[in-house]
Amino acid sequence: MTRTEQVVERFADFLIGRRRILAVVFALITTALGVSATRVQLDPGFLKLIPIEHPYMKTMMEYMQDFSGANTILVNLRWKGEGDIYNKEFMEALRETTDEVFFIPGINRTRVSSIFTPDVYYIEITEYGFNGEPVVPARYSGTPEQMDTVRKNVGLSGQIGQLVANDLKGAMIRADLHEYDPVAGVKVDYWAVQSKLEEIRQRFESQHKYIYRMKEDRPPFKKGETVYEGYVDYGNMLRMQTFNVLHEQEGVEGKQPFAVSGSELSVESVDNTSYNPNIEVNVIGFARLLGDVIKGLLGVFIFFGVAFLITVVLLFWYTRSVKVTLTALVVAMLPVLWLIGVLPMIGYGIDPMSILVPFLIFSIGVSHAVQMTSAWRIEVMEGANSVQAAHASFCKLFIPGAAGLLTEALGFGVIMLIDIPIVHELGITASLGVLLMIITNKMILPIIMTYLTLEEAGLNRARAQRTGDRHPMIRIIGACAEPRNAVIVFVVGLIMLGVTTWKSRDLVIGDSGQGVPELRENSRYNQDSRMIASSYDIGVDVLTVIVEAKDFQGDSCLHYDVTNTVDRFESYMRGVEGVQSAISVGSVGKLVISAFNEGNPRWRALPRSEVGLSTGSKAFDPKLGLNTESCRAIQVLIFTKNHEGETVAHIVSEIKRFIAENPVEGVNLRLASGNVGVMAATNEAVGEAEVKMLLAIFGSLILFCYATFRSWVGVICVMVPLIMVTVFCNALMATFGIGLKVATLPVIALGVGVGVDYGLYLFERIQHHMDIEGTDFREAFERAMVERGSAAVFTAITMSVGVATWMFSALKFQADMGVMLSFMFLVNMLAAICMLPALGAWFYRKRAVATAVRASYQLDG
Amino acid sequence: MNDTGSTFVHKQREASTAPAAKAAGSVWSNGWPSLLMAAVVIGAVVYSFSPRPAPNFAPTQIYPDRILVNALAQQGSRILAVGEQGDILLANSADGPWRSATKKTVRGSTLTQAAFVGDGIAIAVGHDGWILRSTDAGETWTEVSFNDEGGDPLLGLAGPYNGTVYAFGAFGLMMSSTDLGQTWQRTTLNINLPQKEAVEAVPTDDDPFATGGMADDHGDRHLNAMTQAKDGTLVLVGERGLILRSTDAGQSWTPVDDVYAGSFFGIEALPSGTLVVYGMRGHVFRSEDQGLSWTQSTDPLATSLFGGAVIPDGTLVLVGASNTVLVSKDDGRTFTQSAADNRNGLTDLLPLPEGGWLTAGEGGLKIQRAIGGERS
Repeated sequence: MTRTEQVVERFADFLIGRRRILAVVFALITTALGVSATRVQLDPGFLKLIPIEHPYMKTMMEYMQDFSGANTILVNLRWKGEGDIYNKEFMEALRETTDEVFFIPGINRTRVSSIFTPDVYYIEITEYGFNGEPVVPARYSGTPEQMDTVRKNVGLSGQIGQLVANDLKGAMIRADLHEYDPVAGVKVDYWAVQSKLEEIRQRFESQHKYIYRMKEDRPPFKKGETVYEGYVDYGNMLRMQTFNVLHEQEGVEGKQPFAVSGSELSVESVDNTSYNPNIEVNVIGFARLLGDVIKGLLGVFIFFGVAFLITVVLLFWYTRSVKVTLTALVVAMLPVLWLIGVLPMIGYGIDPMSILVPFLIFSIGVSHAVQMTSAWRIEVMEGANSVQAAHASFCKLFIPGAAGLLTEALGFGVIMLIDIPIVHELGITASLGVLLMIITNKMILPIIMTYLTLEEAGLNRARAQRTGDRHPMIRIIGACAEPRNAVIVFVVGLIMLGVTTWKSRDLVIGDSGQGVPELRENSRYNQDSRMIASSYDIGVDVLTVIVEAKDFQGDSCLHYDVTNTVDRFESYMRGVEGVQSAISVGSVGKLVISAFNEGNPRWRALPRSEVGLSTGSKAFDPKLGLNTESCRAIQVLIFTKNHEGETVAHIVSEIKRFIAENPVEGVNLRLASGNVGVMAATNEAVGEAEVKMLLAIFGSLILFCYATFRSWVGVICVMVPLIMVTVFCNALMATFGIGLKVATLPVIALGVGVGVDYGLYLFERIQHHMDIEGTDFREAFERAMVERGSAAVFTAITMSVGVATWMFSALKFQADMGVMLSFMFLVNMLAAICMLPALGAWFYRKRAVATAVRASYQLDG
Repeated sequence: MNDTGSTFVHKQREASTAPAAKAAGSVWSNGWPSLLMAAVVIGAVVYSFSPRPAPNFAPTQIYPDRILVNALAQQGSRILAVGEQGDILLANSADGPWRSATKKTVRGSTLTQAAFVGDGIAIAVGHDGWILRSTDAGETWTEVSFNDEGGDPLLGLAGPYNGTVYAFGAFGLMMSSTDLGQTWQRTTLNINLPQKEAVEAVPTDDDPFATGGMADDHGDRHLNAMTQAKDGTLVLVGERGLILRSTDAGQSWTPVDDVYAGSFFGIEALPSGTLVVYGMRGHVFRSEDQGLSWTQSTDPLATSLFGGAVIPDGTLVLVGASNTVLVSKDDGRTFTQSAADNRNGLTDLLPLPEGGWLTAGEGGLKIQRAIGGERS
């Protein structure tokens, strides 16, 4: 017995001996953390998702105040009927919707624009100067003559492509949202905003209208009183909805707001008279997106439930023991509870991305609990009592188990190399969860097991799994451990490796596919976004370059060097593939100058003198949002065709080329802001972290492996299958169009961290059997498969089925994570049980012969 | 048997006492296939993660449909297009491919007009008094004139008429060249004002460029276009209804007033001898007496017209704001709109032999066909 084993033994004695007092201690800790867990909060944050240390993001933060990526909401009404939008029915709908948008809580009422708002003018250049009027005449009543006037005015207003669709089949309302509601003085409730937006949509799209009445009396409401009418079908979500109802209250003048919970209400569905099959409503904007993401998050809990049920069923099938199943589940849930309890203490919350960590911890918890309970069952079956069995299984599994958990913690820790706050958070929470599991799994579980007795069914099952003929599957897999068969495994492996290596070259850093990356490509939000992008000149993907001109006298825009540099840059960017359009003070200034010259396009040029440039000074008004006061900083908005990683990288490299080739004194072009700017920074950070992260994780795993086995053969046998699967995973990502990004890069590390377990558990046993009991390699492998392998196969399947449920998530990054993790869990297991023995078979070839000869020698003797 | 047996017992004991260390020697030589496999896997992973090549993107270039093109010029099959930022594009066919010409001096000033003035000799003019000349049909361009300090824009180019090429622009700027654009002389407009007639005072409150409604401001107005009538009379049109006639090759000019208060942007001479001027808000006038008297034509639209072209059969096509393409087949008396309107203003066009036109303007270069199957 080695020294380590002695230490483990002594610790086991302590654990079992003091189990009563320890049980109380752990129960108290669990209760305390359980209480703390109730304080955990949903904590989504925009800044957490960006690499704040990246130079692009520093630029963005510096100018965040000046060029706030205005929190804009776009509501587009699309006419699907005959002809264009200039008909009474559509115009009426547009007018009503404009009013509705006006009353969204927290909306900036001075920044609501549609062709019905008075700020939308048309300007006509006449022989005697300019002539401007609102697009829709003040006394609009929808007569055919007025319709013609509106059509003409819209044409003159230059709003086609802006507020009116290019194909004249739609018109939109553009509005800005405050961060703080100026009336109520509180932070704008995005959930309320998105509910209102949903009402606006369903008003025309829903065939039903819903009338909500009080179920019971509740002063000041009476039973049966109608408190709310709306168009959104909340279905089962109604109880989570809160309605703000204005109602008279005795003794108080005017109507007062009351919050009414959906659970107090009964719903009646009636026909919606506003329903119009010819009108489609598209809504995009951060508020709407957040609403959809939160709804997607709620879906996660369903997946958690499904994964849990699958685990229960599989566990019971595997053990045929209610007690063992329950124990494993409880023990797997414990670290999740502890982790959620610890989060509020260290100042973290739950985030759309880190919400998956509890999931992962649960899966890993099940895996280790199964290993532990299987070992215990084997001991019980062999005649030990519960306490002895718990003691023995603790001694046998503490080293490989703790090693496995530590490697996992290491794997999760390594992802912190990606310099993005959310990834740090993910790394810390995941590592923490796994470390907590060492306590829950290796200390609490043995204590519970001492109180456990195995039922007859469970005992029979354990006996069936253990004795008699080895399961034919194990014989087949065991064949991999013969050198001749190993060659076949190698050939198959090499073919797969060849194909996947070739395919893996197509992996893209950044997004692939269209639309916002949070949601699926065919989600309503992305459909709306595509509809708006295709029918208006408004891009949803924008990269901003900030032009600094700090040291010029007076207004920097009145200096030809500055404005012309901006203009040249704009023109250059229009020639870059992947760019849809570009806008800045250069082109807008030229437009204004041409407008002052009777709209003659030949005047669309920047004069070289300050006086000449001042003609365009309307374009340099900071209110337009293109520059700061006196043009100390100017933003060039570059609308890109998409935000795919390759396109973004190309555009950024072309921008860098322009900057390098066109130095202008006193003018400094800085990357980057806008959603594409954030993506560019993120992609660069991820790309830089990719190799670093993999080197770190594989490097540390190799050292760890060597420290555990003291054998380079062991290192090769465990690591080679793992490395192979990493290549497979790259190919999988390339095939499914999953880009390497903040959400997926950590998954590779998580997959490797979890995947190494199989190899560790198996090789530990192989080494044990060969060194201590002197069996040949195949025998050692088959025994390892019986003792650890079947449990490993079982847990791999359980875990991958569990995470596979994420594939149905409405959130694209969760779906991507689900595909990748479930692939990594499963394929790492397969590689471990096939490739590991094949590699070992050749290393221990002579030994196999030797043992066989020895066996016959002994028989002879 | 015995020998081998004892060896093995011996080996076995060794292996159990110091497994890793002793097994190593034989393990590595025995395990060469596994080592090879490991090496291949490591090679594969290194290759897989080595920097991935960027896909091929088209090189950054000037896209003919993404820049403002102010004028077109054609000689034989060669077509030139000039515009924003001093870009000059050339092609041998209206449908391209378009490429950028070589300029010996890059200025970044917007070019406003271009024309062929001789065999393979082309001239382009633009803002800041910029004049460029090419003698190889537009492949390479040499700067002839440029005025960095407060140079007024050149807006038009005409000729050669009797060997003289004219370039003109803002605030009465007039230049002429008698050697097909190699050298240029600045001239002042010598305007003979009719003695007793008072020129209509134009209200100019909203126009920052108005220099006042004085009777003698003809010489300060922007000059936009010039043509030569059948009898050799030069007719120059410009800002605020300016029409000037010269019967002495530009030595002196006589105004024709009171035709229209708004600006004229262009003038065309039809094969019949009729002159047609056009300008703001769809105003088109025609003259059958070399520009002495003018009558208004019928234009269905009220969009400003910035350019035009005459087809040898006498068809006149005018283009302007909102993708206006007006076609007249009755000597400029009536016009019909022949293109779907959109936001892009047009500045110039070239009729194509196979029907349709190459149009230039805010949306760059585009081949358009007449709507309603009408051929121009």
